[in-house]
Amino acid sequence: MLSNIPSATLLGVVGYPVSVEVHVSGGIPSFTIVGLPDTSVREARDRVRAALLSSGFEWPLRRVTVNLAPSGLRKMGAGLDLAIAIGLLVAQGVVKTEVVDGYGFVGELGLDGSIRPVRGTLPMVEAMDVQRIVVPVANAREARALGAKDVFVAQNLRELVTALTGEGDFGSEPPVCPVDSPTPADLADVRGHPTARLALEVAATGGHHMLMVGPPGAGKTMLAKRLPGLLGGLDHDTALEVTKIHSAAGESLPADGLVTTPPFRAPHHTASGPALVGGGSHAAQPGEISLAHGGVLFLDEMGEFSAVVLDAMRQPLEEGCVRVSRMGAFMEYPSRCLLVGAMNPCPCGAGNPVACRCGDQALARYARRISGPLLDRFDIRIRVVPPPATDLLGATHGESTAVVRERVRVAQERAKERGVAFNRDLPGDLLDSCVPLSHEARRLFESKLTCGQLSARGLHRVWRLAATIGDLAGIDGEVTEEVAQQALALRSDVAPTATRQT
Amino acid sequence: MTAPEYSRFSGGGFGAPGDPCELSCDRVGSASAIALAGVAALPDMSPRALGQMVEWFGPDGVWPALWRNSDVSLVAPRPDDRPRPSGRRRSSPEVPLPFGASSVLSDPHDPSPPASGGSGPVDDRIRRHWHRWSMAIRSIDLGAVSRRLHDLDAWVAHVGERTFPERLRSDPFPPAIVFGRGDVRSLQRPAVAIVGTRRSTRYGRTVATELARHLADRGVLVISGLARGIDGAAHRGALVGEHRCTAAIIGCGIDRAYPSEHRSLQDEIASCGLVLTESPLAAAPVAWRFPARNRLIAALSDVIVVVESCVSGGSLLTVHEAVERSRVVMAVPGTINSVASAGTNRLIADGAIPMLTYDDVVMALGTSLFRPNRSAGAALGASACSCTIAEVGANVEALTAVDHVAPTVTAADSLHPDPGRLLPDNAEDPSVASFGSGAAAVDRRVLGALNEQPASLDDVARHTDLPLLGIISSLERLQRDGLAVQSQGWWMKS
Repeated sequence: MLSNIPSATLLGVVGYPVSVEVHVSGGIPSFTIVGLPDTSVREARDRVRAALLSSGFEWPLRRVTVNLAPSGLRKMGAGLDLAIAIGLLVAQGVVKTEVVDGYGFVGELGLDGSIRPVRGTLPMVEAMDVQRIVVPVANAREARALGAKDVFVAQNLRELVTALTGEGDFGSEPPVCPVDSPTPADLADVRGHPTARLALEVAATGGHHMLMVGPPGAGKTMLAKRLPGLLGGLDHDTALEVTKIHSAAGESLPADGLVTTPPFRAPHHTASGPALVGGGSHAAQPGEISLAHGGVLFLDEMGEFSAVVLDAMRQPLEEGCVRVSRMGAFMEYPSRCLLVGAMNPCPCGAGNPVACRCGDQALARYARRISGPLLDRFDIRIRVVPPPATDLLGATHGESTAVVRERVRVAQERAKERGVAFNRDLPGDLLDSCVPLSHEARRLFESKLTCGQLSARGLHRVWRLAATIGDLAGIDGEVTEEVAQQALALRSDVAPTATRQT
Repeated sequence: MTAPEYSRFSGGGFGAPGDPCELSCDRVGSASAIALAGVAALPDMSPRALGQMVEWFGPDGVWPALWRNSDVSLVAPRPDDRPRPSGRRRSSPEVPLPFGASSVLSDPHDPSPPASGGSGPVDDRIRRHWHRWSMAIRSIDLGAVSRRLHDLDAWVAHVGERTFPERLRSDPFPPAIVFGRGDVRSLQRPAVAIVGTRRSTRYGRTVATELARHLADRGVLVISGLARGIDGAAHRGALVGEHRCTAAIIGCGIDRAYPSEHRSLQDEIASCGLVLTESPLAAAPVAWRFPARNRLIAALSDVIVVVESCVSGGSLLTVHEAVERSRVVMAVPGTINSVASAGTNRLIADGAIPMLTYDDVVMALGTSLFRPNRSAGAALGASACSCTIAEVGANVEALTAVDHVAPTVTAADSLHPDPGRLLPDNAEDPSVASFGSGAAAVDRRVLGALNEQPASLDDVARHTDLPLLGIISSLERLQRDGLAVQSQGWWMKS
């Protein structure tokens, strides 16, 4: 009369184990779900009833109580459908308790009894403390990517029950058809742009956020799309983290279930705050900054984004995670991404200050769109100018992604010896011991500090940037004056300003 | 006219309205001028309708005629007995009528001037609105007008008064009244109008500012329209000049500022120069007032310099007006790639004098001052000015004496030859060693690739063919040594 089936629910990007207890007893026929179900869980009643009847099982005309434990946790989504249906069958005695012992269930039911995919399968599978887990066919590969659990699939409820009782076999997911994934953008296609190439290489090595300022059509988007290729593949831990976020957000996952290439996210400039940093009133979803975790978040036309939305990204960028607090729930999404911003130098978009025809007011308005603190987050700030026709039509190709990636990989090894994945994460107080400045470099920075061209925070940023340039150049020991100069040049003050300076 | 007719006029200093040369004891203007200021602000009144009424009734007769509400067909002169133009207006019939003939210049409500001796649209307009106007003036409080002008520290003058600008009085199409703030005697200086597009480039604004400062240093009045872009730059430049002499001719009421961000500039000009308009108090800056404003700029100036203009810019209307008045028109040449210079380059192709140096304008001014069309009015007040025509003439002589040419090679250049030019293309050339090797040679090549035009790192890399990282270090060294400057990612020779 009582059954207890393990399942899980999703909160943010984290799965939480849920015990689905079903109690069937005599009394006036009724069906009650308790334990903080949201609307979609409440609706499970009608889906489960139709699925059972369609699969040839009986709907108990008795008093049915479903408890979702722990009862203090808010349950969301239709992933509990399958567990409720199995619990009903066990409680009615249709399926024996021993048969389902050790199994956990995740899946949504269709009215015909079919088992449908749910988002967030990977984190939910991870959360359940049973070894054998039944998931929808479409979610099987991501569930297997975890590697720690036995994953079983079934097409529909009837197939699942016959497999559980030993009368049939579990289903199998269709083989992965090798889809020709689109060839990733290669640096060899980029003509000209020596400065931007250097900046991309440095950004990929040190994980430095990067701002490109240039006229429309100069190639900012094209350059940004080449950055994920330079970052190289994700290690297993990061890949799992990224896959969990993408799974929870309902993003389509690669055929083998695990996201192994750095994601490239380019939200439109009309994106709202919750869309960018995560949250939202209904289901707290990860935002673009979390979806870009481990990869590149590209904000094209950054000047057109709402200033409030942009400033909301400051804290997540600094701390590497987004914290969303809601009544009764607290969620944390990782957000260690490489931010690449692109914007026009001024509203008229002229490439050169001599050709600019913007009014002073228009310039001042445009400059106000990007706050100083956000600009400060960009370690690399370069000006992108359209390459001349001779470069564009010339036959010479630049270095390919593979060649540059190798240099980046070698330089990243040096950073790892300091104990951080990226130089961007070097703590300020360790800079002096990890990457000491040479006498000349110190003097150069001092002169920039005294004449106000460099702020205290800017100093640390340039210092980290210099560490990365030094890694790329293969310089051990102190930061030389040349490297310091190059770091300063890659962090020039290119953002639009209210007053014309040139 | 009798006193009761002016009973609503409560302002002090009501002098004999018939005496045009009588300077009112009230510094805002004579009673008749204030009365005309009230009439000018009537609804549907246009500057040309006002001018026509002033021509019919005289400056002092417009208010009484409206007040009496006489049948306009009786008071207005009929075509046959209309008084001949007094020499102020359309004095020479053979001169084409650019003001009326150009459709952009005319008031859209009365598109063409009345043919002399006929009943034109202006006449029709007056007849149509006569009764309404005569009702409306009964509610005008001329005392309030006077107080408003007094509060603004502004004045008003009609065409028959001595305070009316002399150069406008002798114009073929003078305004009936002008409102001003500041010293009207500023106009007695030799005057150069600096006009150009509102959507200017940095180049245009720099030229306008520098030219205006150059002229103001020499006591030349800089006239412009207080618009955004070139106009504002010219006024600002003149204000930093030694004599700070500039006049803003605006296209709205004297109590308004357009664009509003130029309000403080307008106040500053009023304090040391002159702000002038023909529009009545509270007149909005509507589009049709600006071509008419341009006509005043052309009329008040000896030389017109167009700094930047698109091919169909409003500054070309000023040029058109200036040509009609035989003023010298100069244009600043610009790059052919700039939209903002397309109009000025076209002007040069059409025969305008190219302004190659700032002194070209002073020279052109010197020659234009001795033209016969320079009226006696300027000479009349010359003594009141700190800078006289003779002084400007002396400047011109000094300039011509040194056989003035555009400075292609300056003395400084020959003393400090550009090190980049001395360097062979190939840095590995052994002869380079004598200039220094390694970093110094790179610095020279990098410096050779820089000029006054802003260049990005990519540009420098392309011109020097050196590795980017080496260029960056070199540029930083050059910046430290003060040979190069960097601003917002652009590099220039300092």
